[in-house]
Amino acid sequence: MEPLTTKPFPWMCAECREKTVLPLRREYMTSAAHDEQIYQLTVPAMDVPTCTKCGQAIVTGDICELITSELRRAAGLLAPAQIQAKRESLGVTRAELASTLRVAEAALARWETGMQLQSKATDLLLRLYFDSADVRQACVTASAVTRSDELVNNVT
Amino acid sequence: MTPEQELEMVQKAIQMGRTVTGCCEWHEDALLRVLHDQDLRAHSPQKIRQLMFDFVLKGGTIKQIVEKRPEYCEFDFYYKVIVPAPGFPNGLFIELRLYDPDADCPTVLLVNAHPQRN
Repeated sequence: MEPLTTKPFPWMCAECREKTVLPLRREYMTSAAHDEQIYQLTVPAMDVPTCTKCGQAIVTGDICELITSELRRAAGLLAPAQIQAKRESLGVTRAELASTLRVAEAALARWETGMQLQSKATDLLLRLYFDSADVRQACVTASAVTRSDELVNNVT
Repeated sequence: MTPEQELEMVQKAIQMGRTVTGCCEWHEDALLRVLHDQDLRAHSPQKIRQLMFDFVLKGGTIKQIVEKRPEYCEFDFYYKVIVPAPGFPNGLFIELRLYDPDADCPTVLLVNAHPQRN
């Protein structure tokens, strides 16, 4: 469930320990790492709870969502909704796609719900799978070969 | 305020945090650390907070710990929650502090999060 109301301002500043935090319409700049690379991020202007004395912000869930979206954009990653929509448009279940790509179904679920950002290599694999029938067929064939090898190993 | 009352207030802030913006949010410095922590394996900050909400609302334990670190001497306690999370064998450690002991609408901030060590 998403927040439905907002605590009345002013809020307590974590640094000044005074009720000096008010919403300030501004861009929010930060940085984040993904796949060993650092990205400088700027979230478009929005109301950021900011201390009027020291400038320290309190980072709400809305701002966190936007930071993650901006990081995803900067890293060139598919958005969670895009992954789900492209998978569903191919008529493939989560379990089937996870098995074909040899990833855990729980990991795929985390990428589709935005819980976790996929690596750039995984993102590339997803894009190739979604966009190319040849890649899809190659993945299915490779998975079948792997499963048959596993069966042989289990028997022997 | 007794330690028990403070713990109750922290629980209330977390419970309210699901529906009231401003009751359970990220400290800006902690958020920056989390955004750069590769050990968190790209788990997003808002989802870490969501995992904590789910855990606490299902009755998960919030541990109240006496603050002994000199740099945080203005606080009597800090609070830790160890949230089970896939990919983290020992769970996710989340540290909180009570910043606004408002009886009606208290505020806690997440001040740290990292994979729980042994």
